Amino acid sequence: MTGGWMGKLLRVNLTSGSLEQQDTMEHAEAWIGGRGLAARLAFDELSRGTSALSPDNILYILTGPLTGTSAPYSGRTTLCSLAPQGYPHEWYTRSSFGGHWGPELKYAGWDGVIITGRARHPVYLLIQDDRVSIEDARGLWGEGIFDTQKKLIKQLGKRTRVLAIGPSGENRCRIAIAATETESASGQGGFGAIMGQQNLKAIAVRGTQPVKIARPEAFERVCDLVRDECHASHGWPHPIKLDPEKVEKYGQRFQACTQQCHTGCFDARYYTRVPGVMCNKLIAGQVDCVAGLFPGIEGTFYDWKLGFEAGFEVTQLSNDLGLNHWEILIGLMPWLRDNAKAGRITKIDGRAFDLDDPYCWAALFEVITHRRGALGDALAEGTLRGAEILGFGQQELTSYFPAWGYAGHWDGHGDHINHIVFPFWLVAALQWAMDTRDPISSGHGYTQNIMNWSRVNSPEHGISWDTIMNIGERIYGSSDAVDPRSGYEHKAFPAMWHGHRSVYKDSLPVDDQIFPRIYSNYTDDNFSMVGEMEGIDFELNLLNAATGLDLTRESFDHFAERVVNLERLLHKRLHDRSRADDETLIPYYEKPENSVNPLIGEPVSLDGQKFRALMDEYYDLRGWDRQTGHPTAETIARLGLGTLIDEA
Amino acid sequence: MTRKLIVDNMVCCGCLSCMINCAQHHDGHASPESARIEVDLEPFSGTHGIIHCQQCQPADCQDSCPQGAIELSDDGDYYVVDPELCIDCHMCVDACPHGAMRVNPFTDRVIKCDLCEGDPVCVRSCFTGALWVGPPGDGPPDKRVSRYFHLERQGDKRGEES
Repeated sequence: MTGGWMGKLLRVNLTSGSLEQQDTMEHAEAWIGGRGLAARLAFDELSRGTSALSPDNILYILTGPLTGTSAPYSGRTTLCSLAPQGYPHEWYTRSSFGGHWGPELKYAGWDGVIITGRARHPVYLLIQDDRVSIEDARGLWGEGIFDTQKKLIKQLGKRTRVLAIGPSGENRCRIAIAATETESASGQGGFGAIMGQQNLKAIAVRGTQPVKIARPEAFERVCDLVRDECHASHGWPHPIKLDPEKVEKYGQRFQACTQQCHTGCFDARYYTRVPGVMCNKLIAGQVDCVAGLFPGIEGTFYDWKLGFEAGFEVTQLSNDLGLNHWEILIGLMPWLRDNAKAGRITKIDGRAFDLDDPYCWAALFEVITHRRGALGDALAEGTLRGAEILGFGQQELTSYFPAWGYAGHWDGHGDHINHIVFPFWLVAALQWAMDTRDPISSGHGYTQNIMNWSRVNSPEHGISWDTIMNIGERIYGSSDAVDPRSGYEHKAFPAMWHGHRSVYKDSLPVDDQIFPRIYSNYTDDNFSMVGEMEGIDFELNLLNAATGLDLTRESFDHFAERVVNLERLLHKRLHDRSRADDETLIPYYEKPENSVNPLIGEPVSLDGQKFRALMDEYYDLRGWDRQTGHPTAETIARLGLGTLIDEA
Repeated sequence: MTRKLIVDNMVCCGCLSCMINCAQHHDGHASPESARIEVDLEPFSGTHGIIHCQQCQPADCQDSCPQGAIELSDDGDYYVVDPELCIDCHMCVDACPHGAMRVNPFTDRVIKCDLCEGDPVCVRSCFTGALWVGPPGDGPPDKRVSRYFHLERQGDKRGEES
């Protein structure tokens, strides 16, 4: 018996109004789901010359075999498409989201929805088990993400889950999100703009069918073990407590941003009643992850002084309009601040540029969302394209945007909130160089894990470097891979290893903060192990028990390698991706790092020559040509991808 | 009665782990539809309600059953529906004041919480400690949030180290 998959994919053409069904199992065992399955489909279906915001683009919204099951930290959905946010090319890429939408889609009997074309007027897609229809959404057009959901839920029933875009998506802002509930969004990529282009306001789902599990007893046991081991998200001993004052004043509480997932993320909290500063009412909503920066944090790079209440209101405004938090906080705002200091920007929509003023933030969001004025219309194209259109701030861009159109993230240079030191950001640099988006959203496993489990970010309780190096030797084949005194040696392997783990996470799909489970507080050697199962095999064991597959560590890795290579071949065909593109990252990293490795004592910059040699090592490991950065004929043959290329 | 399922709605984070694990444990598949516990999810207000069997004594479900199909377990902790005796009249579903007697849509049989006959999977799988088992009126165990305070958890090596 097989389980996990529901067995069918829904194909929607909004131009013709056609709704078709495709058998998931045609590709499921080889390409699993989410990102893996999307790569297989997109490789056949996306053509060179197609722009992200044209009706010919295809939006793949795919769950995976673990979505909707009791697998801990599952419940996710992955979007893949040509990305409006991508720069200089609209790279084909991915972006996942949580909430309860993906599980509901599975309960409706579908593994995914694949959408192309453009409706004549605003519509929403309604999926109620086998009943699928394209419904009029003219009455919803212009509504925020929250009200769109509330109205559809009121009309369709409480258990309906809705994925929606806000006005920013409607206006095809390249930093528009698609979101569900309060803070679960496909953010990076600008996929909300694709839905806007498609005239697709929302996808409402309600399902009543079960997800079958191939080996129920084994699955329940694996779930128990995984859950007991994965007690907290980042590994470091930060106390995850509610703040009594905020509980009393604002109704602060814990809230899962995703079904089956409550990792206790560092700053994930729900607030049931926060008085508006700009509006005269109480606001409810969630604050996760980077949104914790909206109020400003004294003593950090992000030291504006909105304060909690105004910061919360601005957060929810951004959520409702559908703007990408990461872009705003790590890329756009620092860039605008630099330009304001240089006198290039003085006002936003007639209001003085002042980051301590919530009305300034609101004005900025409004002009971007509605493409109002020269500044708003330019920045609606994303910060990088915006700077090009406005004709200023090019130099400042290089402080915040490593590559591909996305602001820094665990990169040691542009992202000033996550502290990472040399040599660890070398692996992040390789991850960034080889990707088509910010790679960290499914690639925290190296950078964040090492920083937070070690004494760098956990001075009191962190694991010793000797222990970390023992574990590094075990999983990366060399302690140099994680040695804080090391340099460029043995950094290619962890970049590749974690690249494969990203594919697992984006394909099953499961949470990135938890997996891969490498370090543990419960074993003598701090290497995660429960029973006979190593923490790094959690995803594999969950997948096998749910689906009835018998993948081994090697064959699972082979799957991920095929996905990475197929994507690379797709990027080559669509946008001539080559080593020359990969190297465009280097100047950004040649600036001094933000934080200093205490064992080195002074800031380090990237050595371009050594990094190029490291890239050689990476290409060799992958079986990619050193000159072109393309998979070689031997690699394509070894991975069995030759027939796909011939057919495409 | 010695023990019952106790819930704290204020701590429920709405992840539905209890529901999906309940269905998985009892039916071998994942579905909120056949869970014996329900989280009434309120994503836009953030305050979820947990609907669950109180194992009442006396129990309206038991009293309403014309077949005598609902019986207390030997240890007195929970009631079970005898599927051989049940005639699917659903009187118990109507009688339950807590909305906790349900009809499994996949089998059309009445289902109810049986505390997993000792070690409830909902409690085991709850991430936040919103559920626990104890004598009626019992407060939460001291370390119910140990999943967060992992330094307090038994067996933690790192807490001892420093």
